[in-house]
Amino acid sequence: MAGKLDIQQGTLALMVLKTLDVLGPLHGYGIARRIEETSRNRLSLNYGTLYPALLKLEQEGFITAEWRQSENNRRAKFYALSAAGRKRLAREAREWHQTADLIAAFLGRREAP
Amino acid sequence: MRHVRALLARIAGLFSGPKADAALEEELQAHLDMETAENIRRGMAPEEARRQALLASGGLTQAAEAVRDQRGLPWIEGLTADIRYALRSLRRSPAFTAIVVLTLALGIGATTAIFSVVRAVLLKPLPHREGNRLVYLRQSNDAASEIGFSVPEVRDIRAGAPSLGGGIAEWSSWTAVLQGDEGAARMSIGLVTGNFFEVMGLSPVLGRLTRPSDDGPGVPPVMVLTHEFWMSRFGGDSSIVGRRVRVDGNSVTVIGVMQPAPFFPSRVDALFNMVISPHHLSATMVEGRTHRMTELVARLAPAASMRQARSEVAAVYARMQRDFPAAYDPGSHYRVEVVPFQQVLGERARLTLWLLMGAAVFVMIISAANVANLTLMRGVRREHELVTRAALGAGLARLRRLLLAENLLLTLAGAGLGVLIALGGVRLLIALAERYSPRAGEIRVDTVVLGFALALSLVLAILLSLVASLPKEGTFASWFAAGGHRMSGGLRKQRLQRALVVVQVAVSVVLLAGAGLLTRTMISLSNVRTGLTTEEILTMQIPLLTLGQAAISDPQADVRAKEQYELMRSEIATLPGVSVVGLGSPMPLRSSDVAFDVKAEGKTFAPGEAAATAEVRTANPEFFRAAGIPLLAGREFAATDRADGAAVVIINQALAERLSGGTVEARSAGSRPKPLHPAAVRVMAARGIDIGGRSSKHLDAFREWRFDMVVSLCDRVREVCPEFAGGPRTIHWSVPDPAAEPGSDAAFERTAAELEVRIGFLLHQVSRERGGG
Repeated sequence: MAGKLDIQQGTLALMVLKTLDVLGPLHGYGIARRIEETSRNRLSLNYGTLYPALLKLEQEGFITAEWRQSENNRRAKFYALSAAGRKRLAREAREWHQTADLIAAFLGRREAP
Repeated sequence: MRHVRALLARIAGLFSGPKADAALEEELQAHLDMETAENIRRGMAPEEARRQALLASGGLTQAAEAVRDQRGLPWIEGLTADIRYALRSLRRSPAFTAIVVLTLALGIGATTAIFSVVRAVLLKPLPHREGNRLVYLRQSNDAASEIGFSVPEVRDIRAGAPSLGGGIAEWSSWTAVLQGDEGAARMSIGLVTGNFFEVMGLSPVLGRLTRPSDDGPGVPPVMVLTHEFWMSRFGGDSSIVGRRVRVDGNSVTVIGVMQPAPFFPSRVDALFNMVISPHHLSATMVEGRTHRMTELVARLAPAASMRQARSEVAAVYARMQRDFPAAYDPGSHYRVEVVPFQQVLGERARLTLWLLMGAAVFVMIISAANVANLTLMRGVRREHELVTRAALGAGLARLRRLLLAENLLLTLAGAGLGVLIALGGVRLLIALAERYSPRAGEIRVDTVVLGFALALSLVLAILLSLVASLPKEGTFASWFAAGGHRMSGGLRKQRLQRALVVVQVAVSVVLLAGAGLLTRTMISLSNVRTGLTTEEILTMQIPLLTLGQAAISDPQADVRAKEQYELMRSEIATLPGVSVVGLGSPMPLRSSDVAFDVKAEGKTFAPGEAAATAEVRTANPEFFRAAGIPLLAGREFAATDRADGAAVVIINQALAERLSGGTVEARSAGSRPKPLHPAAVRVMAARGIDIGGRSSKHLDAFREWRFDMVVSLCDRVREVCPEFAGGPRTIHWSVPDPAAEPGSDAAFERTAAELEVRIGFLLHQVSRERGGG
């Protein structure tokens, strides 16, 4: 697992919300794939991390879930963003940008890899 | 909001069951299948594709476990598991469980029962609207702690204390007879002013209450039932309002039923407007400043404070004492107090109840210490098991939780049983509390009391869990190494056990000493000489036969009533086994409603000394013999002591001593009485004693009397002197008869001087004997 990062608590929720915002209703596999691809495979998501996070978001009412047929005709649970989730996404994204800018300004420009 | 929503979802998740598990499995399986399919699409062999997918998943079982933890509340699920385990382990040691539960039940039961009484009598707010604004006014003096107020006094206070602007409610205790088809019943009633309920802040549960228009003469008499009496006498019949009933010969309308509320100083059955009692509207009552029959409760004006009320009432009272010195004997120290009504209701019970509460807490401590000891002993035997659990991976917190669950089960079972004990105990305690507080009727095992028992058991469970010694985090290894081989725990545990024993012994000694003192008080109380013999004496109470206005306006009614009493008396006297029947009121040892100031000839009270007062009772000639009250001196009432005869009175020893100033009372008589000798009158007048109006009496006049001492003055009398009852001491003084010496007053002078000296010595001796014992 060299080179792969463990996901930080709290950031996963944001990633899930953003994924659902971009791609619309999606099942767990799709969400995991999208997050891994977006991170250019620097993140790996095992089920024990992903599914409790999904359940928590559902319990808090930020996402909704429903069973549907998937593209290859398999029954799967599809998650979709709720209005509250959309609001949370907007707020947290703004906060993350601010924090990231601040930290970047503080640490100075990083050398190109 | 989000947290609440999530919490609700998780509580619901506790009950989701196997269906949710199946759905979860399907979801995870779908994920795995999709990933496998993707891997195959990328060109892996099916076997390899599945293996890679599984690898990436991080384990399906672990994932399912993680989701399950998120779905419900894992600690609750853990707790139910703990409780299930604790139940099993307690079932394995039934003797231990039974003893601990019983011990705890005793402690919790006692504490809970007493707490329910303390709460109802002392702590609970009054049922009256803004009951904390009610104040009780109390007038007292050295002779009586509760003498009430007279109508003129109430008028003065009302005029001079604006801080009692919420109104002053008046009531006087009275008794009345309710006549009905199912027989007559004696009621304790309160005669109230129209503003009474408004001031007290009480509402009707049915009908209406009295209002100012019910005051004064010439209005129809109305009656408000207390909730208690309505239930007990009328069975809660709601058609009672508007019904007319006969009370003391009057037709009275029931206008309403009031909410349950405590009364002071005693419980009442019904409340009437004043018109029912002609006495309360008579001039004696309305104009007599010393005719004190009224109790006062006032409501503080909205902005007024207790302190203001106190100073205003004190000022009015000082003015009253200055303006009417005759009504406030300075020697008796008349005073007035303003006390919160709630405090007054609980004042007689306060000390007793806190003492009982203290005793109950001690019982609680003893039982808790006992249980702690038992738990420690059991802990020693269980160490093995705990070590094993720790070795299998149970953390310290987990072990503590396990112990907590076990102790919680024990204390909750104890509390459950304790509440049952308390329910029985409360019934006994109500009977006790009724003697001390009018609020005893409010004692109930309600939710607050149950909450108290629950809180008590929670605290106990936590304390008991702390008692058990578990190793500190990080020292498990040494604990394992020691294994179950240590026999009785560490030094700490031994110290704790010893401390518990010390606590138990100390508390037990205090309890025992308290119980011993209480027993001694009870014994000496039962040994108090009441002055009457109570064995073989039966009593019965008869309502007054002179009912209502008839008695006051019609003297014939009084005569008829007396005839009826006499008829009853003589008929009862003929019953087999009855030896004497006496009639009197009130019952011996019960205090009388009527008290008078007493003055006696030849007795002046020193300035600053309290004037004598006496409670008044009535009695017929046989009363003293029937009640077994010994006559110390003088005679009993006779049939000739009628309204048309001379007014006579029998006083008790205390009053006699008070009036005689601690000296003696004397009578003189002769064997052959002659008219008073003029020389004797002259000589005595010179000594400042006027005997001009007196006459000589024959010895036979005192034949029935009892004396402490008989002095004979001439030898002849000594022989004919009758035997007086009670075996008095006899003394003989041989004094020559001054009348035998003719002529001057000189012989009388000499005799008077000699008698003065002799009497002086005798009194000196008597007072020394009395003082000595």
